[in-house]
Amino acid sequence: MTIPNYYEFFCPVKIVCGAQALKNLPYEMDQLGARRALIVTDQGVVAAGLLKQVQAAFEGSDREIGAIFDQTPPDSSDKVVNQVAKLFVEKKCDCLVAVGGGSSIDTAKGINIVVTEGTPDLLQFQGAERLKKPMKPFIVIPTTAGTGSEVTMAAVITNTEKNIKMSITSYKILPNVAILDPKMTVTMPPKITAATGMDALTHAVEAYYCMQKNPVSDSLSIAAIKLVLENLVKAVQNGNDEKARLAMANAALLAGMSFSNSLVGVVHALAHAAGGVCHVPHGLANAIFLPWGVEYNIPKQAAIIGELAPLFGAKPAGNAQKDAQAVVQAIRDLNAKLKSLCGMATTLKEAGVPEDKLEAIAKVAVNDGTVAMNPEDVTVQDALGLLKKAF
Amino acid sequence: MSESPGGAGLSSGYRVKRSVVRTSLLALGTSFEMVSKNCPELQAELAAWEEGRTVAMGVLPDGPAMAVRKESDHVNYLGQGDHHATLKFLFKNMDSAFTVLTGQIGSDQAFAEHRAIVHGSLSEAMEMNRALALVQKYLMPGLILNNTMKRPPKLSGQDWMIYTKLMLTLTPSLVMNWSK
Repeated sequence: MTIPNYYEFFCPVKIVCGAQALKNLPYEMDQLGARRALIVTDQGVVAAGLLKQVQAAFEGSDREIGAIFDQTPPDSSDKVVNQVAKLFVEKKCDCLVAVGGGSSIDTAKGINIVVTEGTPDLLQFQGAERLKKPMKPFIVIPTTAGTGSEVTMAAVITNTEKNIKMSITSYKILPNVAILDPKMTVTMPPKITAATGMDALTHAVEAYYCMQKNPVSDSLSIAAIKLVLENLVKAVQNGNDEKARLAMANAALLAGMSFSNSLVGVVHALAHAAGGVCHVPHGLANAIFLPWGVEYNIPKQAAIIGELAPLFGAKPAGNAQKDAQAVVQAIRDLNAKLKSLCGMATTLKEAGVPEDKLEAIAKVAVNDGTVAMNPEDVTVQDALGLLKKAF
Repeated sequence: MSESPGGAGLSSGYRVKRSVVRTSLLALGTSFEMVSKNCPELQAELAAWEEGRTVAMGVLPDGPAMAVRKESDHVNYLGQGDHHATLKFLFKNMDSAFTVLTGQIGSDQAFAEHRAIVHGSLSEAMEMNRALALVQKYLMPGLILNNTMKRPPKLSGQDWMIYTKLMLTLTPSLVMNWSK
């Protein structure tokens, strides 16, 4: 294991995890000095009956729900953020509770910025470490096991006027509490379970070999990879397996803590671009690109990628290149297994990406900030080469 | 962001580093303008920049800084200060700026080590990063580029003409830009 010249690590999120963890929501609000929650969620969560479970958690408590916003779109936007921020003020709420996946959580992060900073203009906070004021209490209840947004210090929100995705990174926007309750993920359909699980695996693997890796993120990545490999197939095969669900929720959380501090690389650059250009769901795009992205970095990081081989069930070959290649093969095998179990796409073609869009995706990908942390350089031609392979 | 003129109480080591950083930023800004006027590869990269985009690079909280602005098919060096740039590359302290600007580590490594942060659009920052890499190709010796870049560039063909022009005109240009 290598120790970098210099690194930083930050994750102050309290983890509340396990059976009936959700019931502690009012208590955690009390601990944060909050009384009235604004719940940010989406229609999928409502339809799955999960919002009702959150509401039921308030029974018998002296904390209350001040307002519910259940129309979060798949991509967070400044319009929605500002609309809900107004609701927060009108309803005299004093804390935010996000219930859902990455979009609901990012929307809540955006609302917290607007409410705290007192301005609807999120553009001025683009970039890193621009927020200085202490934020409102913020609790996250993930209903997917993949994004890890409950422990990440970044939010991506679309600026509707300029049609750009604003990336805001700050230690201030981290939630105070993440509540992982297996009941909140059991309703996820197999395909989404598979894709979000591969999202978590991608976070863990990329964080392990990209440029900002450090001993703390490494240990989190290793634990996350182990949990994914032991539980993802089980969770896809039997969605009601609460043990597997809880393990996957933990995998996503650990991978989130890891990559929030050590960042990711070309796999994410391509996935973000494929999402932006062709609306490929993020987890699915990561699943498709992961083997190609890892393989692309073998010339620079064979020894480090090879360290993961035993975790992926490969016998160490005593040769870094072979061990690293075994990791790639194991990821391909896992993708194939998931495809056979639930029909998860394993190529861009299967995911509905037209071949004539590959060049546009490549051009967007090289402008993604994650490219900077990829060990190997990535030009438009390199990105296009990877896209063609993944097609 | 404007540079603090203060020097009272500063060690001689800090003053030396500040002078090196200030001069390096001047050289980088001046070279950026000159290379952008001559290098088709850099001009192609700059084609994606909107007219008037202003980018600054400086040292927090109030150390040396410089800015460039896209005008027509090239950039112009605006001088010291941030000139209300919408995209800023900011070093957290003088030592970090010194380490990067003297070629001890590359910009990607600097961000990986939290020595610098970006204020503004990350995709514009990536465009700036690629543009700066093209400038450094002419400005930095191969030995340094091998150490600081993931895929060190090599001068070839027309590059040598641009390199020669840059080397012949850089010193007078630095003198002209000194008071900017």
